[in-house]
Amino acid sequence: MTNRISPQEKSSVLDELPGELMMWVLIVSEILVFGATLLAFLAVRITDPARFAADQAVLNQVAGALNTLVLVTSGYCAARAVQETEAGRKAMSSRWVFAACGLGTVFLVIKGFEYWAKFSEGIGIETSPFFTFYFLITGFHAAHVVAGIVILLLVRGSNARVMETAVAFWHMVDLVWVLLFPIIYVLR
Amino acid sequence: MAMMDNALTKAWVKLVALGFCTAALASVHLAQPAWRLLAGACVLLLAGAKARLILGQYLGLKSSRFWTNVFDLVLALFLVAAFALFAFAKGG
Repeated sequence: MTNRISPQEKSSVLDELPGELMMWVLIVSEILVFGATLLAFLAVRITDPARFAADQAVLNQVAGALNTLVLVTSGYCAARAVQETEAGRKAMSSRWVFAACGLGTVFLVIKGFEYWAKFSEGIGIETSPFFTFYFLITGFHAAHVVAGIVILLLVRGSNARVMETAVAFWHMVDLVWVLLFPIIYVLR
Repeated sequence: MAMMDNALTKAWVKLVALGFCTAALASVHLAQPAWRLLAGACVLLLAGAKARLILGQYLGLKSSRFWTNVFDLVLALFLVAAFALFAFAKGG
């Protein structure tokens, strides 16, 4: 990870943040938005826990768990891409970027099958408060996955700083999912 | 470089292991409300552990003690709030 200035020159704690400060501003704002939405989900759950539990039982936990494995592995690939770029091995870095994007696509395919299964059962965004939250939160997250894939492909072959910034966005997507999955899919 | 590879690979292995722990907890059906609360707390703790790994190892926050502490605090507050809301639904 690259820091913006050397340890000797650090004058504030902001300089201790690895990578670009503005990407951290974006990461924090996204985490706050998702965090607030997840807490709102849990708050609304209090109004009808039995209905929420019944709706949650319909979710495909295996697909969600598989998607967790997919995303953390894609995060690993993205982090390796940054390492290879820092080492000057751009060809290898590209391969890791493709691996990360490939796994991101797998995530979207699995998520797509989940949505299709729900729609086939007549379940939609207006079915119940649970599914309103489910589709909004996971759909918003999936949009970030799409954006992350596009960003990674655009910065492929760039210098270490640009790669690190783009990959930080991908790790944020990963981070949100590891908090989202347990709360939406598992807590009962 | 090899050391960084090892650290990253170790982080990935831990994340996968934590994911399996979460999946194992999710598959257990507990009848007693107290056990369900405990399971819920464990699920959130596992989520927090995964989040810390991603922040520290993937995002590189481990290089800053100050920011690690800040994000740990924010994460802890979020998880406590989440557990409180989860527990209130159970007991309320």
